[in-house]
Formats: sequence, C-alpha cells, structure tokens
Amino acid sequence: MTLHSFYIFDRHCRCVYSREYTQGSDGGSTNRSNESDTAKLMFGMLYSLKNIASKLGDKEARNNLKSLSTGKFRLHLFETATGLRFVIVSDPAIDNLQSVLWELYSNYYVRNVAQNALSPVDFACDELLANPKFVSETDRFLSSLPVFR
Amino acid sequence: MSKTTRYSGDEMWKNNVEKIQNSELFTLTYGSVVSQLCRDFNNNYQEVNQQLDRMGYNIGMRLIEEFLAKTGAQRCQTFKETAEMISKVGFKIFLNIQPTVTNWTQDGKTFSLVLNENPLADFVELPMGPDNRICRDLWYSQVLCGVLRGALQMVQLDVDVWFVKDVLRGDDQTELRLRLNKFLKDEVPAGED
Amino acid sequence: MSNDNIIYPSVHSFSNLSLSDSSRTGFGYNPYKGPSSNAITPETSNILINKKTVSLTPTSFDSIYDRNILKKVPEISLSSFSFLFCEIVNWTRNNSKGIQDLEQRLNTLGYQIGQRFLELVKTRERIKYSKREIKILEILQFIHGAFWKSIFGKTANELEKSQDIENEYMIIDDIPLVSKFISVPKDYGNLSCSAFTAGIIEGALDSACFPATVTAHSVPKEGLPLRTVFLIKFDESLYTRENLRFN
Repeated sequence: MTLHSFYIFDRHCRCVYSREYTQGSDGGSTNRSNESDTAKLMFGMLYSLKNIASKLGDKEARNNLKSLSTGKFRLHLFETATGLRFVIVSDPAIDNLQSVLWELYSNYYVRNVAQNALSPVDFACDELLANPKFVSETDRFLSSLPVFR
Repeated sequence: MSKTTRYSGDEMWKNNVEKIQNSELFTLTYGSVVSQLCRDFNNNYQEVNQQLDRMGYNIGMRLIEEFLAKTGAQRCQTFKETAEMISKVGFKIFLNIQPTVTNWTQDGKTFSLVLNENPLADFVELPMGPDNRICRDLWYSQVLCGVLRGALQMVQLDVDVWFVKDVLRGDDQTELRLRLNKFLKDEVPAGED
Repeated sequence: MSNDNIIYPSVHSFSNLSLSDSSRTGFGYNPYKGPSSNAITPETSNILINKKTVSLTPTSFDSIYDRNILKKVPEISLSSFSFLFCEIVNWTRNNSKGIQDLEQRLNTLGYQIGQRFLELVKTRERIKYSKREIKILEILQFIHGAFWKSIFGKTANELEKSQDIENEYMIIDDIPLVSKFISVPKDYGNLSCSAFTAGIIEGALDSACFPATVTAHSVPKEGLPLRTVFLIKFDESLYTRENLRFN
C-alpha cells in the first residue's frame, strides 16, 4: 500500500478522524489512534511549520504548507478556511496529492458530514467522526486511486 | 474586485449548483417552522427570534463548508472583501438573490445588506393581532442573521448581525446590518504558546 | 378588536367533523352536510355582515395580493433546502422524546405544507383539473402525478393497492428528495425523515376531504437504497361514502 494513513484535525486542534491502511486482511483501523502520540506530534509539527512558513514568506502572499517528506514517507497537508486540516501519509514516491485532498474535502466531507443532519460538525471534547458512510466512501475513493496499490 | 470576478456568482449558479424546481417548498417549509415555533413558545416572539437565530447559527456552520467547497475561496483579507463575497457569491448561490451592500461606517467595520427580494418570506403577511405585538417583536427572517453569524465564525470573524428593517413589518425595504467585532485567532494546540 | 368579531376557520381539519357537528359561530363548511352547512340565509348573512375576518398587515403599495401566483416559480438551490431541513430535523430531535414523537412532529410540519400546496397546485393546473376529485383512485393519481411533480419536479414512481388489507394504498418514491442528504445512524433504528413528506401527503388528502393517515417506510431495493414507501390508510367512513356514491 503506498497510502499509509489519513487523518483529519478540526479547528480545535483535535484529531477527529484517523484511518490506517495496512496490508493485512483487516483493511486497517479506523479511529484507533486519535489520542496517540503520533497524532499529537504530527499536529504540533504541522502547526509549527505553518507558523514558520508564514514568517518566511512575504506578508501578503499566502504561504501554505503542502507536503513534507523524509526518506521513508511523505506527508500531504490541506487546510481549509474553516480550520480543518486533512493529512495523508504516503510513500515518498507519490508527488502531489493536493487534488485528492481537495476531493476528499469538497466532495466526501461536505456531503457526508456538513450536509448530514444527524452528524455533528463542531465536534465536542470526546466526539469522533465515525459516520459509516463517510468511512466507506472515502475508503472506496482512496483505494480506487492509481497510486494506491 | 478581481477576486470576486473569478468566483462569479452568476456563473456558479448556472453551472454548478444543484437546484430544485420549486422554491415554494422551501418557503412553505420555513413558514411551517416559524408558525410551529410561535405555537411552541406561546407567541413569545423574543424567544422565537432567539430560536431562529440559534437554528441559523447551526445552519451557518455547515453552510460555510459547502460554500468553500463550491467556490474554492480562501479567507478574505479585509472585511470589505468579505462583504463583497457574501453579497455577490454567497447569497447568489444559495438563495439566487443579490443583495446590495450599503451604509458603510467610517471605520469600515459595519455595513448594511439590503435585500430586494426574500425567498423566505414570499407571499407571507404577518397577521395583525389586538396589540400588534407580532409586528413589533418578530423578525420573520431572523434565521438569516444566525446563518451569517455562524458561517463567519467558522472563518474566524466574530460578527453581530441584526435586522434593521423588514418589508413584512411595513417598512419600505428589508435591511440587515453586520458589524465586525474582532478577528478570532486560530486555536493553539495544548502545550504550545 | 375582540376575538368575537373574528371568524376563524371552524376546525383545524375537515377530518375532525362529522354529520352531527355544527359550528360554534353558526357559520362554517361541513363536508358531511354539504353546501347547506354554509348557505347564505337571512340568519347567516346577518352573522357575516357583523363580523370581520382576520385582518393582515396594512397593504402597502406592493402587497402580496398584487403578485401573480400563476407565473413561473423561481428555483432555489437544493443545498439551502437541505440545510434548512437538516436543522429542522435536529431541532425536532432535541424537542422530542423518541423516534415516534420525532416522526409525529415532522408529520405535523409537513401537514401544514400539504394543505397549502394542494390549493396552489390546483390553482396552477386549472385547465387540466377543473373538477375536484371525488374518487379515491382519482385523488391518489393526482397526488402521485401532478402534485408530486409540482413539488419535487418528478412524478412518484409507483402507486399500488395493498393486497391483503382493505383500506391501504402505497405510493413509492425511489429517490425521495428529503432523504437524499440524511444517513441515519444505527441508534435511530428505522427513523425515516420522509415522515415530513408523509405529512405533506396527509395534509393534502385531508384538505381534499379524504381523511387518511400516512406513514413513511424505508424499503430499500438493490440499486435504490433510499427507496421509500408511503403507506396511506384511509378512514373507514371513506369506503362507506365511496360505496354509497358510486355503487
């Protein structure tokens, strides 16, 4: 699998959704590592990098962090104007997942969460995004991508 | 503004927005809700206004995501830009109307939106009771105030929105006023400063 | 202006009346008695002349009565309606004590809409439907066809009569508008937000003098996960009426 995991952080700096894709038959875990150190460290790092990026560029232009890579993985980030952060962790071979992240937001998130009466939008302290339709549709979308092998 | 011409409200309405044939379903649904609220609160119109505002706030929090998804807009740099976005694009893609932005104050923090037509209140008249309370107290389209407040809150703008005039009350036009209180800072994760 | 001077509608719905009812104010249509309940006689005309109807806000230069309701209806975006409906479901859910109560409240909201829509659709279709429907099958075909098309932009998919039970009919909609954007979480069981649409049908039927109860049930088929069946149960008295009139 060249896509390792998918996280969503809300505007209150909490991880509301985490999805891991593993090679085994169980297809990966959903929402099991929201409170983990990995999630917290990842968010802290992205937050600090965002601050640095805004200080490095000139004042007017928007300087958004798009991806971050190491030898073993690449992190792709997309932030909406409402403070939602979509993060995908993948192999370093994959170059640009901005359009995928945009699709996840504008299509799947908006349709299944924002437009869904019975699903919360502003998550309370211990609420997670566990909407089964959202999970199954995003899984299907991500696994249908050519980069997901 | 060059940015708003990029997100032309009219074009988006024509091509990108899924429409339903009958706006009367929308109007009648809203009317049904208002009358149910009046019954629930026993004609205490202040309460009804507050409830409509709260409902609008919840709607606004969701509506903003759809707005951003459809227009791909980024956060506006100035309040004036925000006003343009709301009137030219926002109202157009959701209600198919285009209100005008007027009455800016000196400091650029308050402006008025004048609605020339209001699909929420199509064919509505407020009944005159013995003491005219409904005309004095009820803002029929109060939900719009809540929607604007909720949507702008999600993009870190703290605003107050209220009605100034309403055609249903016998005024000559429907006018909303928005005031920017402050820009909200993005939240910091625990442990950072 | 005291309350005595105002004529209110005699009942909330025609289905609550019976042959022996007579109006408190001495004036009001009772479909079981027919036109004689509403006739202009010297006594009733006295009542009418001395009372007023509910008066509305003073008509200004551009009152709603000057507008033409027969011109083309403007469109509005689906998402506005869906957001409003989402919030209605949430607000109703907070106010109600259980699934049944929730469905009942949605039904009530839809009821008022159905009453008004019936009048509106009839007025607009004036040439094709210049006569009032008096047979059960006719009113059901009207609802399944012109009424549904006017509200939702398409006709309903099927109209069936139940095999086993006498008074039941079913209207089936493959993709109901209101359920398109709600996915029911598991702890809500078989809640159907189409209770709202069921209310619309019930309001329309009641106003057309066909008292019924309408409920919505979700019956998914392959390829159509949102398929909803609206079960229409007419009153017993209706069948007696049909038999008397047409047999």
